[in-house]
Amino acid sequence: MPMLRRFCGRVYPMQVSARDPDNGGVSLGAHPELAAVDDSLVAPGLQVGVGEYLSQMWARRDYMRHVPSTTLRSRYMNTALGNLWQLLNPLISLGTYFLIFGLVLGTRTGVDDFLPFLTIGIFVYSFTQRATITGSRSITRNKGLVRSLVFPRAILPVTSVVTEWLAFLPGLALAILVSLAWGNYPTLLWLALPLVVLLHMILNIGFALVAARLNDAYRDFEQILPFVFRMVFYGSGVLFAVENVVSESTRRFFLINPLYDVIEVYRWVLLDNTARPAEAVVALAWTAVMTPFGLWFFRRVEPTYAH
Amino acid sequence: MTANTEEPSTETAATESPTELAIQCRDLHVRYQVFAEGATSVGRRFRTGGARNAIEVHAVRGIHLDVQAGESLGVIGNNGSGKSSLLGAIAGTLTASQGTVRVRSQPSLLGVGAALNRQLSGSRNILLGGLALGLSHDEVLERQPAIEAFADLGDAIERPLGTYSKGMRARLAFSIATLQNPDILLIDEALAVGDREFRRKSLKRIRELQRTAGTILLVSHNLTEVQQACTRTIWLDRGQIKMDGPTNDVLEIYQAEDW
Repeated sequence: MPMLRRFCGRVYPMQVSARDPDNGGVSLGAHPELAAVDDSLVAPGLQVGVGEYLSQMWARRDYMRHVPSTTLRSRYMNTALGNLWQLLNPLISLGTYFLIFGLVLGTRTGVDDFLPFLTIGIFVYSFTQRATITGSRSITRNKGLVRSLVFPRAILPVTSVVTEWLAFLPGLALAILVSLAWGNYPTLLWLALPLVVLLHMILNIGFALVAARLNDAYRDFEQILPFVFRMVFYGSGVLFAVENVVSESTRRFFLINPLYDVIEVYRWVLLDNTARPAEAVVALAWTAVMTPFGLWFFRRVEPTYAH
Repeated sequence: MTANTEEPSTETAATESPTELAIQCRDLHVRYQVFAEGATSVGRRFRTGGARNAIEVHAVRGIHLDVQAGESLGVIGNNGSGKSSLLGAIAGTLTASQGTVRVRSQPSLLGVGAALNRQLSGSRNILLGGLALGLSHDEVLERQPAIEAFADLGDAIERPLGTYSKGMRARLAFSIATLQNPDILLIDEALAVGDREFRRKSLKRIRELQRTAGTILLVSHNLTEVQQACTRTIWLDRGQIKMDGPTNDVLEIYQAEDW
C-alpha cells in the first residue's frame, strides 16, 4: 500500500482528520470520523450519586457477610487451639487487666461491680479500636482487588468493621455473663442492647472510613493509630469510674470523647446503676455526624485508591 | 444491535452497519501522580511544604474514540504509550483529568498479573472476585466449577495465589473477569503470559462474547493475537492515537515503522 507508506513518513502528530476512503479506511491522527455524542451512555466506575452508591454497596452485601467469617477463621488458622482463641483472647486480656488494675493498683475502689464494669469497658473499647485499625488497612491491604475490579470501595472498611464486630460478640457475651453472675438481673433496658450495638457499629464504620482514606494517602497513619488509641484508652474511663478521679465539672470534658460516651451507655444498659442520658445523646450525635462525614470523606478521593 | 457473526479476521468494518455505541471518549486526558521510590528526608519535606516526591504522568493526551457494540478493538503501541491508562479510564479505575469517557455498561477490566489476594487460594479468589463484582454467594458457588474448569489449574486451585506463575494467575484472572459475561471486556496483555492452549481457549471465549454483541478492547504486544481477535486497531503513541483503522492495515504500517 504505497499511499499508507507515504502517510507514515510524515512528521508526528498527524493532522489528517477524516477517515479517507482512498487509504483503505485508515484514519490518521487523533480525530477520526466521530459519532454524535450519545446521551444514553453513562460514566464508568463509581462517579454516581450517594443513593446509587449505597444501592451498589447493598448489591454486594454477600461480600460484607461472607468475607468476615472466613477472615476470622483464617486469623487463628496456624494455632494449635484454633477458633478457641476467639474466646480465650478476650478472657486472657480481661484477666490481665483485672489483675493489674483491679487488684494490684486498686482502681476498683469506689466502683461496685468492678469486674462487670471492667469487662464492658474493655470489650467495647477494643471493638472501636480494632475496627478502626483493621479499617485503616482495608484499602492498602486489598490493592490487588481494588486495582482489578470496579466496585464501591467503601465495602472494604465496612467489611473490616463487620469482622471486628464478629470478634466482639464473644466479649460481649462474656460481659453479659459476668454482669449476671454479679447479680445484675435483666431489666427492660437490656432490650435496648441490640440497638446500642448497632449504633456503636455504625459509629465505628465512620471511623474506619476516615482511617482507610488517611492510611492510603499516608501509610504513617497506621503507625500512629495505636498511640492515639492508647491515649483515648485512658480518656475513656475503661479502667476507672471517671467521677471518682476528677471533679464533676472536669467530667464534662470527657463527654466529648465518643468512646467514653459509648462505654457509659453500655454500662447504663447492662449494669443499671447510673442513668447516662447526656452520654447517650452525645454518642448519638457523634454517630449521626461521623458516619455520613466518613462516607463523604472516603468517597472524595475514591478514584485514587486504585493507584 | 447487530451481532457480528463474521470471523473477526475479516476486513469488514463494524462501522459499516448502523450499530450502537458501546464506548465513547471525547478529548480524554489522564494524569496521575506517582511517588518516587525511596524515603524522602523529613528535612526536604519541610522545605518543599510537605510534598512528597510526586511525579506527574500525563499518560493519555486527548483521545477521541468511538467503539461500537460487538466491535473488537486492538490497542497497540510502545511501552508507556498510554495503553493501560486508556483502559483504566474506560473501566473507571482511573479518572479522566479532562474530557469524558462514557460507556454502555460497566466494563470488566482484565489486567496483567491481576491477583486479588496473594495469600488466599485460587478458589477463594474466585469467590472474593465474584462477590466484589456483585454476584450473590450462591451464584458464585454455582459458577465456580465452570470457572475452575476453564482456568484448568488442577490442584493448584487450592494453593495460595502467591505460589502461582504469571501464566497461572492470568488464567485465573481471565476466568474471573469473564465470570459475568461482561458486555464490555478490556484485556490488558493478560493473554500473552498464558500458554498456547490457554490462548486458544481465551480467543474462543472472546469470539463467543463477540457473538453476543460483546465489545472487546485488547491491549497486546503480540500482533498475531491482535490480528486473530480484532477487526479494528488503534495505534497509540505518547498518549495520542497515531492511527486508527482495520487491523491488517494498521499492523502493516506499525510493523513497517518498527524496522
